[in-house]
Amino acid sequence: MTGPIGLDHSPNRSGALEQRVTAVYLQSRGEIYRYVTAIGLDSATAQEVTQEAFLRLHAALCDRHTIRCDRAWLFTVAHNLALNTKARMLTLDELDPDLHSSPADGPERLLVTGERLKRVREAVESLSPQQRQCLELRAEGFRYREIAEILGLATSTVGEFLRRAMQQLRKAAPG
Amino acid sequence: MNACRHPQQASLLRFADGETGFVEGWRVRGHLRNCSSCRAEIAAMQSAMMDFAMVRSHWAPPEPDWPSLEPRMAEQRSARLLAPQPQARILLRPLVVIALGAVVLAAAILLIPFNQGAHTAKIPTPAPVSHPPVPARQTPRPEPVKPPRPTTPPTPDRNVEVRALAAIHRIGADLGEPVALTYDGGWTIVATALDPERLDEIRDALAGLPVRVRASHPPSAEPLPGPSAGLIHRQGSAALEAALGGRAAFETLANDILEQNDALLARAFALRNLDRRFPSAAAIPGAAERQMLHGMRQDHLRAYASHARRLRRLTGPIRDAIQAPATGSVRPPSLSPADAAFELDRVLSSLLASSGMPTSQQAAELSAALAAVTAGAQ
Repeated sequence: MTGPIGLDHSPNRSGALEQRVTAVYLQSRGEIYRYVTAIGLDSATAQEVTQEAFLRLHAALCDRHTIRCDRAWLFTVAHNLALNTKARMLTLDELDPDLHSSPADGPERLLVTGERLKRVREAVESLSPQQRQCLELRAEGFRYREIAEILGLATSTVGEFLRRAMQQLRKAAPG
Repeated sequence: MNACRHPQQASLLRFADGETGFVEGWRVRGHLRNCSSCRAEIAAMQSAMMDFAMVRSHWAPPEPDWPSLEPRMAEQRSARLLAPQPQARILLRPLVVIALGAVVLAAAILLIPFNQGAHTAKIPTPAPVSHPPVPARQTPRPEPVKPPRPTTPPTPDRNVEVRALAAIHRIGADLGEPVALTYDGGWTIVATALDPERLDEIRDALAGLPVRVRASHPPSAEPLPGPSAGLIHRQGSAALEAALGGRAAFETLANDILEQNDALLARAFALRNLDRRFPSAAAIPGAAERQMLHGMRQDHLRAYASHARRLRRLTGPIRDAIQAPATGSVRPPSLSPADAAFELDRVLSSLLASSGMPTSQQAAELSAALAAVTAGAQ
């Protein structure tokens, strides 16, 4: 069915789009949430940014944008939204680093018992934001080319960030 | 240990990540067969990645309770249905224009006596009309209306500017494509005469950023001249052609040189644009954005250096034929990378298009320009 002014507003199409977005939402919201948390958003803001990314996917699909890979597109949008949000917020890190520590601080931190893993964790915390983002996305299974697309970098730069990050991790826990 | 040179660490990491191309992968695999230290290096990288994965799993924030997205999508859908659609806007536009015109005209009539005073706020003046003069108003003059306070345009967000440029850089749209980032109260990418697929790529690259994309279609469909368009119909020097092994060999070499020269110019333009937009990185508030800008500059400089090296190699036979001084012996003029590329373009244009044998001055200029781009790349 076509709407009165020429746009396709048929319930079938809308329903199919919402089903598509819901399926990706169920599958990928956790990893996107983890990623935006890892780049420095608190839990509530990360949840809002994650949902906003999916709503933008819905809007873009309604507008008939061509999206080759929903997952990479969502990571790109979430990454940009997270940076925008961070830029607007007064960075808590600057006031008190303890206020913005990762959710695993406290009792959960005890789970990381090995001395080696503690050192790795410290090394991860000392990485530059972009090294950390590359490493997180690599751990999510993205290829260098996809990471480059998400972060707006050249593929060779991604390789270099990963190499430096790897060097620091290895320095922290040799052998 | 294998006597061959060890692959670089970056290459080993790419191999461990399954990111090498066929040739690189084949080389690394061959090397690893005989090199225990590189095998140990790869094992250590994999172990570090596993350490990271383990830390990450402990570190992962607890999953929140996720609400269903469906009500918000439904809300979004109804808002979109209620919003005026493009066709409706077209129908409404004449009415809006007429209404606005009437308001402006009325405001202009009311404000004429006061405009003659001190304030000179510009109000769009309607075109003069040929109606009979309006008789002087007899009603008491109303209290002067305070001129609207001049509104200060919102300050452009330089972080968004950098991220938008990085997004178009990522898809290579900053290398001579008719794409411009402008600010008029908000950031807009104006793309001139691009095909819909490319526009979609640009929109995708900018997804999530507060940047609009506007397609502009110039009335003339004539292609824009490229940087070296003047050289397309060149007439090479017969003497130079003979020295280089005939017309066909000269044509092939000249085409290769021009291709590299165009690529060098594209990088030079991109570098110059970044320098003009951001004379100082200190104007960018975000550290990540400053890093992005640095990354873009480095990308362009790396590519610039690579094209400069190829141009040095490609122009070797010409420099030999015209007995140009060795580029290493020439003191390069002090030029920015962009200016050095423009100078080389000028020298190559005059040299490849000259009808006679290039003069010794042209030979010296070629060496100096090549030295300048080499220095610029560093």
